[in-house]
Amino acid sequence: MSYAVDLLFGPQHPALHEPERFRFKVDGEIIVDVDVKIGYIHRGIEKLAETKNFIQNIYLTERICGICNVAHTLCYVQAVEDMAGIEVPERAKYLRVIVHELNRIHSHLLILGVAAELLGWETEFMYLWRDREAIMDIIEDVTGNRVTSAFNTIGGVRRDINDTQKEKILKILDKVEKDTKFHKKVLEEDPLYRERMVDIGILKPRDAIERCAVGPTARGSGVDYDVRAHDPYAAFDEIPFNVITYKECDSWARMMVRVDETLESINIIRYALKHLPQGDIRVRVPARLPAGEGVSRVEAPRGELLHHVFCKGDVKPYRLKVRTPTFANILAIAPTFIGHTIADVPAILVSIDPCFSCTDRLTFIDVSSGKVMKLSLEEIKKKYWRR
Amino acid sequence: MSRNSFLEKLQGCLREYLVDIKKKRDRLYIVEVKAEVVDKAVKALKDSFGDIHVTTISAVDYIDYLEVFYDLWLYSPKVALVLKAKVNPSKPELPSIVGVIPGALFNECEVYDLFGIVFKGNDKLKKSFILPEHFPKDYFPLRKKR
Repeated sequence: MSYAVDLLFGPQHPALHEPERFRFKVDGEIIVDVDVKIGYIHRGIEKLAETKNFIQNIYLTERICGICNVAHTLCYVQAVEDMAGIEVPERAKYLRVIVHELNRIHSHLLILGVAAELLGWETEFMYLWRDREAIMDIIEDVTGNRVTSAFNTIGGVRRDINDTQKEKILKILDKVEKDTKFHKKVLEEDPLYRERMVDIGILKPRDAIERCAVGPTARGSGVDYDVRAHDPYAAFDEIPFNVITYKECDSWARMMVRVDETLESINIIRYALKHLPQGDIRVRVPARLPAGEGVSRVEAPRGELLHHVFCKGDVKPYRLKVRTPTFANILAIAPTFIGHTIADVPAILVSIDPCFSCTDRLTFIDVSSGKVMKLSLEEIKKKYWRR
Repeated sequence: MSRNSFLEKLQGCLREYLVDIKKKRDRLYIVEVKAEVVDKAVKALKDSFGDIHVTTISAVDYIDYLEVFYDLWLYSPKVALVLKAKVNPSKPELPSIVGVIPGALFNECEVYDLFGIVFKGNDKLKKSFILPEHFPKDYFPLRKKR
């Protein structure tokens, strides 16, 4: 008689950074169905934003996600500027691009490292994180902080970049580029990495579009959608760059999109530094903003991020809606587990840059009759364990 | 496609469902449609402009009415749309668009959980989608105080 067993992954797991629960139905080692439960860290930020003023909300939205904090503040301030009709100085737009792309590089190198670690390749994890540290140093130098940088503000940015910093950034970027090219070669050629990632978690282009996947998850399936190129914001309409897509549709392709995007981001920063216009870095904005609504999309490291803000002519937003990229990608990726083994779960999950965990509770389903039995650990020990 | 011809095509394909349409800025249009035909409007958009990406679905509570908004991205004309529909807060109901775009599933579940707006035709709606399981079932946290 064959049993499909409910295997719970989540909500807590030491290896990953956010709680989420996946209920896999497994037949032996093979996953036959999956059910996702999200919301374990629902912090009510949208509700909280309604009680804070527009400036305070910059620091609140920054804390939605520490890793892509620049994307969140950028998206939020752009939405507010769109709502109030504020024109940002050209220099501020370029500075925003520079810090936004530094943020993307550090996020991509971080998840490439985490992926290597989850696949048991700790050496590569250590090397990637060592190389990422150089970018963290630049971020600290430019913004004053390693993680929550508080760089963007309504009407511009809070800090300028001087010539000494420019030289330093360019020097460090040369090193990071060399390192990233080395990692690209390693990740492309390493037989074990390929064995774990190639042809795992296939997300077909049609499914990626239908299920509204975003970011490297969609681009790894050949979907040409990058907000920076298709709905340009900040200075992206003036900066030339390529949208990276891979046709392989598997976990490996999704990781390689990130490697190539890191190299592309380095070129974007170089171009922005070289063509940095002179002038002010911010305009003063009144505390009370006119009634209206503003929408902003940005390409966060994990994909398209949206902030939609409504105001009734107050110092506070009437409503703030945030849609983060992982929210879209979880639905897209969930069915791709089916047919793979339990050991492939981390390789698929890490490829969308998210979080999972596992517990030890078991439900047995008799596949032929569909009868569900729940057994405690004690009962399993008594009934099935042979000593 | 020039921007003017895009607007004409948009008006043409949504003619029966349209309440109001305006251009917010380059590549962003705000379109209000009748609530009871949202699914047909999205279907008409998909038929005219090809694939649609649903970025998010959410709502704003204006006390007198709830305004549901759909942030959409049209892949081929490369234009963003905000599709809006007003619903009655005492009986908030809309047709589901999951049949047209499967990717809208989580978004509809989230709106149901936080605003109590029912999407007819979506059989996966349940409370506690993102709120904790012990959260009161008849309380919708993002609605304003009346």
